[in-house]
Amino acid sequence: MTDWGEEMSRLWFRDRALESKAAARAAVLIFGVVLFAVLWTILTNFVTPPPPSNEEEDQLPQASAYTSVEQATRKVPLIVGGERPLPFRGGGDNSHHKRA
Amino acid sequence: MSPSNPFFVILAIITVFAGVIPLLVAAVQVLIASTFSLRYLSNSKMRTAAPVNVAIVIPAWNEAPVLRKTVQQMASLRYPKNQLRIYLIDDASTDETGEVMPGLVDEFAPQLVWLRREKGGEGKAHTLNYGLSRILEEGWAEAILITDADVLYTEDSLLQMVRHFADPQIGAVTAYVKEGSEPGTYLNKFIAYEYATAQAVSRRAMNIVGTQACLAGGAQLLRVDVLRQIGGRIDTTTLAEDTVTTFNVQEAGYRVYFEPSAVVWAEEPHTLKGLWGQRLRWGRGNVQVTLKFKNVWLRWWKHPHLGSPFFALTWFAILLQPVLMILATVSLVYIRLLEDSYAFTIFRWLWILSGVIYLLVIAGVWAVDPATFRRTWKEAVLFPGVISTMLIWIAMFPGPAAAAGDMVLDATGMSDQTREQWAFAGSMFMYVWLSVAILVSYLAKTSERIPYVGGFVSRVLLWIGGYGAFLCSITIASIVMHVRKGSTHWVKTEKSGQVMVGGGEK
Repeated sequence: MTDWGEEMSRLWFRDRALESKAAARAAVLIFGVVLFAVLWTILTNFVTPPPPSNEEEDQLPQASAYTSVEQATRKVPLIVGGERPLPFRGGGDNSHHKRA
Repeated sequence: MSPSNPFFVILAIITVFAGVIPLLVAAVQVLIASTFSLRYLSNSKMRTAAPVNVAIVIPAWNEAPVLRKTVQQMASLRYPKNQLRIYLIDDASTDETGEVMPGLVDEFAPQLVWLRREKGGEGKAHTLNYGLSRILEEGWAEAILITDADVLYTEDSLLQMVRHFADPQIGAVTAYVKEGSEPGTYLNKFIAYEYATAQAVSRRAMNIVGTQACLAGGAQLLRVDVLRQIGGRIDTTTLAEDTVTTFNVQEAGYRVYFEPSAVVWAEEPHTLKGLWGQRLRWGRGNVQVTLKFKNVWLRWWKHPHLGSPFFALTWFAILLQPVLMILATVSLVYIRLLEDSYAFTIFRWLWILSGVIYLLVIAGVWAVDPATFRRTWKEAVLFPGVISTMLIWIAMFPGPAAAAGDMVLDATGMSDQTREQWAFAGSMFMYVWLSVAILVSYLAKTSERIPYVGGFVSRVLLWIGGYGAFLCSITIASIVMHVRKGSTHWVKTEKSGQVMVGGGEK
């Protein structure tokens, strides 16, 4: 082993460099998570799918063009079930649907 | 009061979201840990550290296959030779230790000292105390490094730990223990990822908070004067002697510091049975520590380190995680059966929160330990289990999930009534999965015993149930065993000597 003081300095500068890189990655991490949250919010709340064709509209009058999280939620047949009016075939009280 | 009383409903909603508390704590830790680098960069005190006499204490009970490698590694550490001694405390081993050691002593004398107990097998703490009494009597050592016989230190690690003693407030330092099995199994990769989250991320955060929960058993560097202040002995009344030491040091008014750059490599269990045995010991030790320090929790005015509310939150979030998960499941089912109109919304936000934190933790590991991330990214993705991961994506993007579900149901051509029944069964399955996952992962451990196909079946079940759920099943078992006053006999983790510096990262 070389001089103690030199060793301490060597380690100090080396570990500082490593931690600088970790700090840069942490900044990217925070930016990435914020970006993901923003994109997810936009995708699930504000992006409107294309309007349904006439034929589709006949079959599922409320199934598409959901514009809010609440409406999108209703499209999950396996999850919701139960008594709530559902916009897909076979789920809950869907007597208001016009069947094909 | 009827079951639909608003009081019960609100209580159930709160209980569901209480299930996310452990994950929220993890998220806060990731965010705090991301500021650690800035603190580290501004700390120049470490450069002024003076060298101290260090006694390395290696307890060994039937560890003959790994002794040569460990002693060689310790002797080659970058540290002044005249300030480093290695004490191998032979716990009355009945294997070839007695044949291996004389040769090693000849080779490494006077740096290596071999102490042999007449009666062994009582546990690590008893073995350590045998060596510590001799070292303290000699009065040469200024710091003591407690380690394990199978742990390999990287050459700068001791220097990196010792330099923190430049700060008189720091009484003990621990290192980053990484999984180093080579060749390892799929399980070792899960453990490697778990260690990155529990140490590289969590302990960095706790450096900032100012309280550490545990000095890693294989890397405990203690000032001798602090060790004397806490009685000069290691606690023998619990199965978590390293955690008790950590608590005692902080109770004495000193800080415990985690040095992330000081990397040491350890061999971890290769099977679920081995992991179960090791973690059950840890889990039971943690229950014992919780009760032993019952007068400390949340009393920050008396115990500034251990009594802090955030420390209590981190400690109990882990200890009570399975209980919170089961309560969340029960509440979710209750809401689903009673008030279906908003059950899915609650379910969805529960899993969205879990999903965001899951991604945050993965990203946190990548930020602080990219080498481990590269080795274990698949295990990181599978950590919650395949089904939980699917539920996260369903919760986040219900639209595409619904379309896929509809497509599958359409393909079966089932009647509307059957479809309705499947919808109900599916929703109930998803609502109870949080707890069922714990059972499935427990079955992964029991299925290891099945002849011929046991290894494959247990691996598949662990992938389905999740490694995180497996840890929860161990916590449940440790609480149950404590309540039933099960045996507290020390169970040694079996090692094969398959450990290398660099492990599977090479």
